[in-house]
Amino acid sequence: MRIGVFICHCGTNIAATVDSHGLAERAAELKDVVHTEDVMYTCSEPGQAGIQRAIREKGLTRVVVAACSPQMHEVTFRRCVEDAGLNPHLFEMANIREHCSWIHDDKELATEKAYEIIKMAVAKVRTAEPLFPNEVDVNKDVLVIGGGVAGIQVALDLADAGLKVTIVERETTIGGTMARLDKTFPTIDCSACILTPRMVDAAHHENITIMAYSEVDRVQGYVGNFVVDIKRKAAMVDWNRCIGCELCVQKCPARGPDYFNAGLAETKAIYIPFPQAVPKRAAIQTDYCRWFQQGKCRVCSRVCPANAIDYDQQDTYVQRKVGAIVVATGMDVFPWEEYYPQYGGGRIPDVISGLQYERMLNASGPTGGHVHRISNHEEPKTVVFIQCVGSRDEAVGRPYCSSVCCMYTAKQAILTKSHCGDDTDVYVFYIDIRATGKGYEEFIKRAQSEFGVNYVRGRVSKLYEDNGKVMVRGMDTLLGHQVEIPADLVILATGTTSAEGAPQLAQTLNISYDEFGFFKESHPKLRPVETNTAGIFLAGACQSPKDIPTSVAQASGTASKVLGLLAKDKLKTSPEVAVVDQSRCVGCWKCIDVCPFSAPEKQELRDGTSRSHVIETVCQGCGICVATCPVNCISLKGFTTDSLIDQLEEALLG
Amino acid sequence: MSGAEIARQDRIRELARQALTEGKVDYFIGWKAGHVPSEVIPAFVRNVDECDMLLWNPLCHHNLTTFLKRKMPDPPDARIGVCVKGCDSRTLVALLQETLVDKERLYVVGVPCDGIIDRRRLEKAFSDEVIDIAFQGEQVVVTTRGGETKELAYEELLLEQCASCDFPNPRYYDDLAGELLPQPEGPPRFPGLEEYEALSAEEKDRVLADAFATCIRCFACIHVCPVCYCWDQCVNRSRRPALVGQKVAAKENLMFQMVHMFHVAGRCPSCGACDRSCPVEIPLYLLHRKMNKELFEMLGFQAGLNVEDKPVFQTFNIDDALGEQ
Ligand SMILES: Cc1cc2nc3c(=O)[nH]c(=O)nc-3n(C[C@H](O)[C@H](O)[C@H](O)COP(=O)(O)OP(=O)(O)OC[C@H]3O[C@@H](n4cnc5c(N)ncnc54)[C@H](O)[C@@H]3O)c2cc1C
Ligand code: SF4
Ligand code: SF4
Repeated sequence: MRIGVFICHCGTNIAATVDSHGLAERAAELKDVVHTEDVMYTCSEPGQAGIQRAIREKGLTRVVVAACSPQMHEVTFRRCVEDAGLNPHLFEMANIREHCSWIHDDKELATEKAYEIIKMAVAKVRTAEPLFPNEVDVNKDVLVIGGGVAGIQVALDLADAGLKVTIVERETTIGGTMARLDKTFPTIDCSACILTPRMVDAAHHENITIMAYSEVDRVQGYVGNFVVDIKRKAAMVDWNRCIGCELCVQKCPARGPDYFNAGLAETKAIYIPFPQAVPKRAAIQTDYCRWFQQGKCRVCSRVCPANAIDYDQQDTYVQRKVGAIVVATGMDVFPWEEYYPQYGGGRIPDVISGLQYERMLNASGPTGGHVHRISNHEEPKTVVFIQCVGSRDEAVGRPYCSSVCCMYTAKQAILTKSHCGDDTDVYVFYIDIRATGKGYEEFIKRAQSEFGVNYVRGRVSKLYEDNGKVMVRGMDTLLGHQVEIPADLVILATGTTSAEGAPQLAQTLNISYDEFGFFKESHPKLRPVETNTAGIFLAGACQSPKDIPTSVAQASGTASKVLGLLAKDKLKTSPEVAVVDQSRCVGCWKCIDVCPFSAPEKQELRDGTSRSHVIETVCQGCGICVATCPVNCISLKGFTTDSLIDQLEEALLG
Repeated sequence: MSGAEIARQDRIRELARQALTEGKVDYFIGWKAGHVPSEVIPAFVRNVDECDMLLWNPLCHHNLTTFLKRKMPDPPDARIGVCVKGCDSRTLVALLQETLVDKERLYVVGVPCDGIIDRRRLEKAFSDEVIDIAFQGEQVVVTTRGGETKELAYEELLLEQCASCDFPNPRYYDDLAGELLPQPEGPPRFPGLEEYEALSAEEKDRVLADAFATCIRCFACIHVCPVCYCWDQCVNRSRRPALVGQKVAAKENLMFQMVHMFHVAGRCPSCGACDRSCPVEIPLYLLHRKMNKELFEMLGFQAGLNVEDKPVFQTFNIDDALGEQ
């Protein structure tokens, strides 16, 4: 065995705290090591050429690179050694940057630790065996979960490129948040005017199937070959018959909450969220329907000209096989009422959320675009906006910036002036203004100078009702004094939070999510639209709060990644998979139970007993079964128990 | 012996006799008298006329489900009758949860239990050899070779775990030997840990190191353990992977026991079989009972309660994870 060890300086990233050169000398003493070298940038062209040269000239049979995280460059170096004729799995990375130089400052101790890490990698590579990938066929259809602007964009891009796309949307219409907005910053163009044509395009596209009022129930399989069970929720209306005429909605005597108008109005028990809905189909909210609650009514079924009402409809399940999945489930508005008792907790009628105000401004909204006070329907004379409600507020567990509120507040402030007249007093309480997009800073400036919106720096400490007004008490931190403004209408620039049910969806899909329920990308810079589960991608605000331009740009980026993946007819699967030592398996089937990919199966032996067997092409190498197996008879190729013990022994005893 | 105890013993004999006569089982596992008066041992009864040797009294400490673990004993299609106390039934349930024993081939006689006597404590109370033990109501009458006779209170001789037993009734059985006992109320109890828990991390290290220093690696504990079923594949004896050093020394011993503890976590209901089997009296409960306490406090889990439940390490409850956020 001939091992070569390459120790990176990573400029000063490593070399400032770890003596890379000295380590190269010491590592040369390790058993089986025949070549060591310290390199300024191992991942650079000359760095990689150096590794390949050493493989050829010194006849290296194993290679260790001590540098950054394998997350960063394992693929790079595997390719590098492979090009020089070595099996890529005879390579091992020692992470002396993220695990060492970046987190320590005592050079002597850090160097010692780096040496241990290198020793462990050498111990591991010694038992490494060449591994070879398998190939599987690729299904070229794509599933998009969530039909907001991001989901629509991905679907259109992919469909235009010739792939068959299914959009699963849990509401009865696609469109997402953008369909509920009035105008959009920074251009103040009408949201519906730019979105609804895209919705119609999607509906008419020969390659797109929209499954509205549906949810993903279960996902099995793996990249290139997912099997997805989709639940079509019972709308109590036969959508093949419904023509969207809204006669039922007009005649329905029962009222229910209106999510689309963010609770600003009520809708009927049978509803179509908005006139441009796609698909434009009715659904019954059974909790509010008289027939379902009281057993009488059936008005809708009488008036429906298409005979579409079906009170006995049940949820149905359909299965789709797809090669890739794009998650575009967007975001929700922060439920501020629960967290801000000082702002009335929802009990002061004239304190509303940004989304509610968006509906109020909207010409097709419940007030027909007329801005009025909720309490007495009068036009407001003084309007106050409060920014960062549910954003950048540790006290309510939301440390992050929601990224759109500064901008939509400026937009709404401008629109207030144009709806209610220039003489309306408009105040915006802010902490900082974040306006980093193209044309955004200019937009804020226009709000201030052209439209005369008063920006007050400081947090509002309390809202209370007094004499028919909403008193806004806060601090002007620039002038350093208390302010109190009697307002007619207060709009909270409510922050954004992950879509309801996002963590559960992440579990179903087996992708990571952060503590706020936003899905995690595989790498923030290098793999921003991929997840850690191969074949599952992200688009739009489900990954982090985003405005429309960024959501759409990301969606197109996602589409290109999906296309790149599905351009191939076969996919190579990683050989780092689990194998069962069947002579030891006791047949408890825990592995079958815990595997998120259904890779292990029961295999009957000739003696009639059954043992576990892992299907190689299905296994994703996550190792859950290895940890679960009570008799320890499953091992992961490339991460065998022996190799891990060798590493531990090297660290603890060596 | 109280009337209830005698009734239970009669019923065990009767049920065993019935099962053998009807051909319901090929053999029946119960308890019988051992070689010394303070000892009861497992009995394997194959013939109807042997049934009268079956015994029930507060010395029947063996958890007989250990004979069922992993693959059921030969012949592979044998049908087996077995007696279980409350705690034993939980290890059986744990095995059933993991589909490691075949329910169809089992006939389970559940024995309500008032508590088992700590045989060691009893023997230590006498300098002389005990030649007779009689159970008379609430009293245990002990006679020694020297002729000394002493009456001890049954309550005071109970094993620590029995003194605060949460499950006097079996959780799983086909037939009952005797009336069910009142089910204790309140949260589960994990006795005997207070002192240990009050220690600092360093002191705990020392206590465990001291406790395990005397282990001779006879493996009695893992042999009696009903839910420790890797047999020949036990990592403690495997050379490759060499997870546990073969040296008989405090550190290796502790490692061995730690591995055992982690392996049976989720199946172990603290039945105490390991504790009672240890010839050098290592307080194994410190590990197992403590682990069970943690599992209960962290995840609300108790091993072997219902056959339909999933073993704790085989489940992921999304609320457990979300709860942390
Ligand atoms: C009050 C307000 C004003 C705004 N104003 C502007 C503006 O002026 N300009 C601007 O650029 N941006 C604005 N934004 C931001 C804009 O709304 C978002 O950038 C945009 O909606 C993100 O699109 P999306 O497709 O990622 O998510 P969404 O629009 O949230 O769409 C997600 C879709 O997925 C569906 N879904 C969710 N979960 C599931 C599931 N489990 N299964 C199936 N479907 C699911 C939802 O029903 C929804 O249809 C504003 C946001 C708010 C709250
Ligand atoms: S978990 Fe282990 S013992 Fe159980 S079935 Fe799977 S491989 Fe066999
Ligand atoms: S490592 Fe085990 S649990 Fe993970 S995917 Fe493979 S078979 Fe399934």
